[in-house]
Order: sequence, then structure tokens, then C-alpha cells
Amino acid sequence: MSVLFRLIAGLGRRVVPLGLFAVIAVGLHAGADVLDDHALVALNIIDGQVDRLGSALLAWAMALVGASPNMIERWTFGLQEFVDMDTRDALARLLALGFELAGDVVLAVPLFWHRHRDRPWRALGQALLRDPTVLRVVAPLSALFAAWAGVLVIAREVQVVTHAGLEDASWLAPIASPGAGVVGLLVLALVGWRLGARVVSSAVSWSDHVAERDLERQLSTRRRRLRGWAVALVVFPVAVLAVLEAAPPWSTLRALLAVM
Amino acid sequence: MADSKQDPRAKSPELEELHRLLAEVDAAASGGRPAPSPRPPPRRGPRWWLGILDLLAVSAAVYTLMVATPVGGLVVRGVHWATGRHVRTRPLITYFKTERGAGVSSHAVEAVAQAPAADASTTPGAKAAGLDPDLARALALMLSAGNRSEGHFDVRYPPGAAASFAAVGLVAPAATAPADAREAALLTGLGKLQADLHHPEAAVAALAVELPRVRYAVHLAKAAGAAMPGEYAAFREYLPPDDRAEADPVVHGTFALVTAFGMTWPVPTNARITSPFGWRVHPVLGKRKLHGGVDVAVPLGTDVVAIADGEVLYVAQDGVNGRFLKVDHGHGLTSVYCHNDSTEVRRGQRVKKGAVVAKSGASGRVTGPHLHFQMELDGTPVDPEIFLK
Repeated sequence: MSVLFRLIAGLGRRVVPLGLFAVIAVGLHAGADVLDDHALVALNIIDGQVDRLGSALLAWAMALVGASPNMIERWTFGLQEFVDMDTRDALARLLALGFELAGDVVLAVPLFWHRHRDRPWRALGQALLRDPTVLRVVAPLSALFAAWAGVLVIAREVQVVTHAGLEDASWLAPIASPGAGVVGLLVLALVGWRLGARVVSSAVSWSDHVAERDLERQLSTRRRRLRGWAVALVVFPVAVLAVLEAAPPWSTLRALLAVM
Repeated sequence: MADSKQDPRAKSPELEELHRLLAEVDAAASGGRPAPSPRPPPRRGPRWWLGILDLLAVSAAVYTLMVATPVGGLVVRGVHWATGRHVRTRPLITYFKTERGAGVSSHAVEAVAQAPAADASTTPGAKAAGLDPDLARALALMLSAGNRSEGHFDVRYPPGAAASFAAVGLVAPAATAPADAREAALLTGLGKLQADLHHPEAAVAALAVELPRVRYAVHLAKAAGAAMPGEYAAFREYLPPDDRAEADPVVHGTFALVTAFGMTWPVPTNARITSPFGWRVHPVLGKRKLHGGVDVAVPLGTDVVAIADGEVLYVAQDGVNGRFLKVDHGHGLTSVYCHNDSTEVRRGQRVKKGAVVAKSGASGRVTGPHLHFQMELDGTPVDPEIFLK
């Protein structure tokens, strides 16, 4: 029996990187789910400006070469209609999907492959102050926000699925609500402790490792400092949205505690 | 001797020399045998039960990843592709905003367009069950996809209906039962479910998934602080993922149609429609193009009102549509008002049905002042005239 437990435990330790990936991916999805509305507003503004400036420039250029007013009208209309309302809608949704998948690639995948290095927190803090790269600042914060939202969403999903499972087994139906609530809270604590915290410490370790490697490779200070811009542009906004709009901690906790 | 055991890691040369001398003395005293070296502290391996907790945590995280994110959808597609198995998968977009990408079938919209007068078959049943006739009609349209049999909707019950009916003491009719019996039973069942759940959206959801799950989801939404826990948007995230996929099209489709049936026209109804919805030769481009809305001739400065309650998605301006805005009425129904002289609302503002949202004008690409009014269901433009009462 003990051997079996140890085998299972060994397997558990080996699949932890997969768990780190999953927590970040779930958290980023929560953020991406509310990103498309914001993306649509930004696309509308950009398109409006491009329509205005682009068609003015095109009309001026065409007038210079003696194009007829009819032709100018048709060409500028074509330019303005090139990205129409429906296309912008679709683009906004694709952008949200793209941000999510790109976020997985630039944060979740590196953490999946990263082997955690034990370095004292004090040394890490000193390194950050001595050589503050974008990655060192943004990766741990993004990981913290994504993990926060991810852990809450995971707890909620397991809670509702547990409830459905207990309801299906009719003799367990009377305890379905409190049972699911207890399981949800346990999952919240377990995933937060075993995966959420590790996501953050792995992000710190990974960003530190990358900064040290860049130093060894004698990259210019500017290049070293800018390392991590993709995380700052792609992951950070989505992770912030995840905590602020998609998985607000207080209401999620209230739902978990409601049936206790 | 005691000191050397207490501090085996002493680094200074003097101390190391002292330790060596003491060890020699010890060895001499013990008959030439070397003194036992200080034993290093036993190395503690990782505790096995933590590994088991890790496995549990990873299982929960990976389960959520697989059922609730597009990454999971991609993995499932990849596995199916690699194994050569053909399995139906959800479009990636359905992992996002639920009100889009699932909902009203084109058959249902066509049915509204083709036979609006015959839709009254549900009205007596709706009144008997204490339901809104528009809701009864929209639900019957959705569940029948617009198909009729002997003057009644050919209703097909969703998977959760039988269990929910049983939970309120009813029996769902068999698929072979006559159409009028299936239509009548649907309305009776919906009435009972609405009385149980106190909200029509929760009641319609309980037709698609089992009643106890909807009750629980509404309960959690209420606990989480939702102002209207019976609204589908509030409790949807507390349904299991498979149930969400079942309920989304039924609930969104039904209530998008309910809103459309109850809408008001954005400008006075006597204003002339100068260009209807549909394919036409574009006046500027000279090419065939879908006209996604209707053009209504109105004088400059005419009040443009919201067709139903909703939230302003955005207010924008571009070269073609001029000053325009889009209002989200929920459940995938949106309305767009273009070529305005001015807009009277801002992004995120809640508007009531009939509230002035803009003053009509001639901004953008126009040949004269008019309102271009567009309605979209699930992101697809539909002809607003078919909903005009």
C-alpha cells in the first residue's frame, strides 16, 4: 500500500508543471473573456482615425493625379468600408482569443519548462533592485493575478461539478449543497497552496534566471532591461482584467461559503 | 570533543587545526581507531502525502483547463486529429462571451418572418399558465426551430426537461405525442418552473438542464451578491460546463426573440423606409452587397430611441457610419444606430426602452439625412421589419 502511495506521490510531483500551466491558462482565459469589449472600443477608435486620416490623404493624392470626384468617392469609400462594423466585432473576439493564447505562450509555457531554482528571497530582491528588468517586475505580478483568478475559477468549477455529481447519486443528494461547498473550499485552499503559490515563486525564479542569463551573455543594458515586454503588453493587461472583472475574489468566496 | 561535534562546519584555519588535533587525541585514546566523523543531519525526502495533494490539485486544474478554456478545446481537437477519430467539438469562440456564437437558429428567424400571424397558437396556453405570450411564442419557436405540425409548434424537448418536469410533478410528453399536446405541456411545465424559480430566465434554463442544478446555481449567484440572481447572466457561471453548453442556445435564443418581439421602433413608425434589409446594388460601389439594416428617412435632429432596455456597448465615429452607437440588449441581441447628428449616451450607460440615444443626422457616407438602423442576433444582421408590430 505504501509503495502504491509513493508511486502516486511521485506522479503528483512530476505533473506539477502541468498544473502550473493549467492555473495560468485558466486565469488568463477569465481575463480574455472580458477583453473583447475593451478591444472593440479600441478598434473603433483606431478605425475612426484611420478612416478620417486615410481617406483625407487618399483623396488629396488622387486629386493631385487628376482623378474624378466619382472615382475619389469610390476609392475612399472602399478604404473606409475595408474594416466594417461586423469585421471589427469579429476582430475583437479574435483579438481576445489571440491575447489568451499568446499569454499562454509567453508566460505559461516558460513556467511549464522552468526548473525552479532555490535562491533566497533577499537575494532575489537585491537582484531586482540592482538590475530591474521589465520581466522581473511584470512576470511575478502577472503570474500572481492570473493565478489568483485561476484558483478561484478552478474552485468554482469543481464546486458546481461536485454538486451535480452528488445530485446524480440520489442517496447523496441531501448533502449535495454543503458537500459541494466543502469540496470547493478545500480545492481553493489546495490549489492555492500547491499550485497558486508555486506559480508566483516560479515566475520570480524564471524572471531572475532570464535576467542572469542575459547578464552572462553580455547583452546591452537596454536589451536586458526591456526583456519581458511581451509579458507586459500581452499577459499583464489580461491578468489584471481577470482579477478586476472576471473573477472578483470577494463574490467568488461568498459563493463558496454560502452553502456551508 | 563536545565542541567539535557541536560545530562540525567550522571554517577558520585555527579551528580546523584544533579539530584535527582533537581527532588525533581521540584516536590515540581509542586504540588507533579513527574517531567517528560528525554525522550529517538525516536528509529528509519529500513527504509522500504532499505528492498526493499535488496530484489532486493538478487534476482539478487540468480538468478546468480542459472543460472551460479554448486551450482545452485545442488539446481535444489535437487528440482527435492525432487518433483519427471524428468527434464533434465546440467552436473555440463559444468558450468566450456566452451570449455570442450560440443561440437563435436561422430557421426560427425565418419562421418569424414567414408566418407571424400563425404564431398565436401558444397564446391561450401561455395565458392559462400565467406566462408572457411573447415568451411562450419565442420558446416554442426556439424548441421547434420554426417547424410546425397541424398549426402547432413541433416542439422537441431538450435533455434536461424530463427531470425538471418530474421535479415539479409533471411528465414530459413523448417525442411521438401530437404536436398540440407537446406544445401545451411545454407551457404548463414552463409555468410551474417559473413559479418555482421566480424568474423566467431560470425557468427556461431548467428546461435545458435539470432543475436542482439551476436552483443551486441561482442560490450561488444570490450568495455571490448578484442583484438579480434569477437572470441567466448572473447564475450561468455556477452551472457545470456541459449544462452551460446545453442551456446557452435555449436561453439566449428564447430571450433574444422575446426582446425582439417586444421592441419599439427607433423613430416614428410613419417614417418611410428608403432602403430595406437585404442584398442590393450598393449606390456608391456599384456592387452587390448585403444591406445589414434598414434606412429610414427622418429629418435632421429627430429623436432616435433605444428599441429595448440595454447597455450602450460603444459610441463611435467612422467614415462610413458617421456618428453611431451600438446597444446590447442581452442574449445576443444588439441594435445599431448610424449617421446621427449627435449621440446622447456614453459607453456603459444603461438605457431603457424608448430612451433617446441620439439625434438623427447625415454624418458619414450618406446621400441625405436618414437613420441606418441595424439589428443583430448572435452577431448576424436580421431584418428588423419582421419584428415590427
